[in-house]
Amino acid sequence: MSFPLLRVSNLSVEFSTYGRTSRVLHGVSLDVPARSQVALVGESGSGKTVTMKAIMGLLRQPPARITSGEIYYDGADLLTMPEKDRLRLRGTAMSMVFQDPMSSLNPVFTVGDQMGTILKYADKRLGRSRSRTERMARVHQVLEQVRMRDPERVTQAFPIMLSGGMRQRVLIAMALLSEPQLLIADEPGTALDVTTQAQILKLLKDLVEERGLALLMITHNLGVVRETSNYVYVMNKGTIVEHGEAAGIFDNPRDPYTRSLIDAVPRLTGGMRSSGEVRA
Amino acid sequence: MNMPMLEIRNLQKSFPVRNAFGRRIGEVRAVDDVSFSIEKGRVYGLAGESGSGKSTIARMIMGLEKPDAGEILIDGEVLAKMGRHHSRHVQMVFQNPGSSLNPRRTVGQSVAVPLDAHGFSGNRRQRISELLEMVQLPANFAERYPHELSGGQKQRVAIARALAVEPKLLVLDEPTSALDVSVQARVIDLLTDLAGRMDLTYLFISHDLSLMRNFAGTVGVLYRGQIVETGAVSSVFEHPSHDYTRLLLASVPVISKEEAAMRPKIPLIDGEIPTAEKLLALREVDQQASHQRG
Repeated sequence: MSFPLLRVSNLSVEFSTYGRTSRVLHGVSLDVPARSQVALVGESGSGKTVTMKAIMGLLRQPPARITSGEIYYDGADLLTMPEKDRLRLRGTAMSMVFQDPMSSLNPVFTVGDQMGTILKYADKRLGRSRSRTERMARVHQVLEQVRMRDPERVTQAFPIMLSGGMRQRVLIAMALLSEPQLLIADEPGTALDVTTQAQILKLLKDLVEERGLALLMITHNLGVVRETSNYVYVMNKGTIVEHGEAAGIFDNPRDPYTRSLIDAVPRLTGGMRSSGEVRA
Repeated sequence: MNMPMLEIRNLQKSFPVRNAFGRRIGEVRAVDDVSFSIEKGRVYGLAGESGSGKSTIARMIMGLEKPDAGEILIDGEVLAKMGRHHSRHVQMVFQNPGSSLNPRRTVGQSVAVPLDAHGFSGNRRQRISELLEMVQLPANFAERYPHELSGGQKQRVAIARALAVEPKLLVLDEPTSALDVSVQARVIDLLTDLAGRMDLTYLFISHDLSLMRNFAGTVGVLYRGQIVETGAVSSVFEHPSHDYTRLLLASVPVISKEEAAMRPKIPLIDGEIPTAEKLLALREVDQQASHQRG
């Protein structure tokens, strides 16, 4: 059996604040094989964002503390490798698409400036270098990949001049700049209108398939899971309560929490089931 | 004939568009000749995306914004002539309970605000605990502050506050969009239960079509200030006639095969799901072409 691209194994995290310690992850394990589309779904407070941050190395320690577990990327343990090696992977081999397109872009620099800077530092970490012109050519190339019709105009625009959907596309383009193998998407499109969200989800799915990327989708929306992923991990109170093929879990959930979650989702076909037995 | 609880006739509202120096450079029609009515005891759903005008309509019904033209009738009375006592009949529940409750007031104080405003003369303490009980919160919550409550509990408090003056009509502006799905289900259950017990009529504003399907009886689809399609929610969702409705329905992320099969098929343009403007422009061209041929 081949080793998955990303493997989180028995990860436990606790937070200490004001002398009180609370465990937020209890032995979380999940695999994201190369070229797969995996979703991590859970409600607020389930621990999905902490898991994502631990993978990306964005957990502030303290207050957080990883008490056990390993996170392997391409066979190497991210938690024990020297910080320098880890930096080389972050934002290059594995990159993130953030949720809120307005607050993750800097309002006082043009899109082109920001993308150029990201690329410059990614190159630096990888020990490469390109000229400014080469960088701009690459920026245009990825903007075209995210189906921006006029890359020239977009690079010269400030974030405020773009619509929400276009900003989200810019964030996806940023994540693609250094040709990652793994894309981690945190609730992409949740801040957008439903028609724009549908466009963004389709774009993500197309990109992942075209470019052979692995996608880890972090979301609370079960509909988004079904639209974008083949395999699902359901998280509740810091543990993975159920995982399996998306189709199987939606049609035949085995865990009571998963079942209550699925039952609580209003259906387009109507006939909402009684939610009396939903457990938070 | 049964008199509608809310009737809206040819409502219009424009806002000026100003340049950076505050000079008027045009105007945007936020609400463009909107008419609809809600029968007593029913739930009318107003579906639309950002910029469709749904919040402007809500604000005009609440008297927070004056219409440029048109009329709003509440239980047969013209809103413009109702004055202060209008808020006895209509109350609103806002989207974000985190920001619609005053953080420096206890739950009890927040719920009592409308009581005082309308000169309530009975036993306040008792009335507050009655209201909390109505939204299924324990009476001792009256002493708590909003930050001690969960999102769902805060929204229950907001509902209790809205019900304090025993209104006839509640305007629900995205009341559950900030909540987790399991919490949403319970708040919707509560609203359904209250409607039956208190004889309430709801105007339910949302962009969540799956929720709309399950909560509203009649639905109006708003696009750029106009209602492009209206009817019983089951027939609009099963047989949408307007392209915008079709696009909206096609965009809903769903979790079952049955729902996926129900979504209309929208033609892709350049491999992408088209925007509403593009889709509608394309249809217009098609129609003109067939007109010329025919």
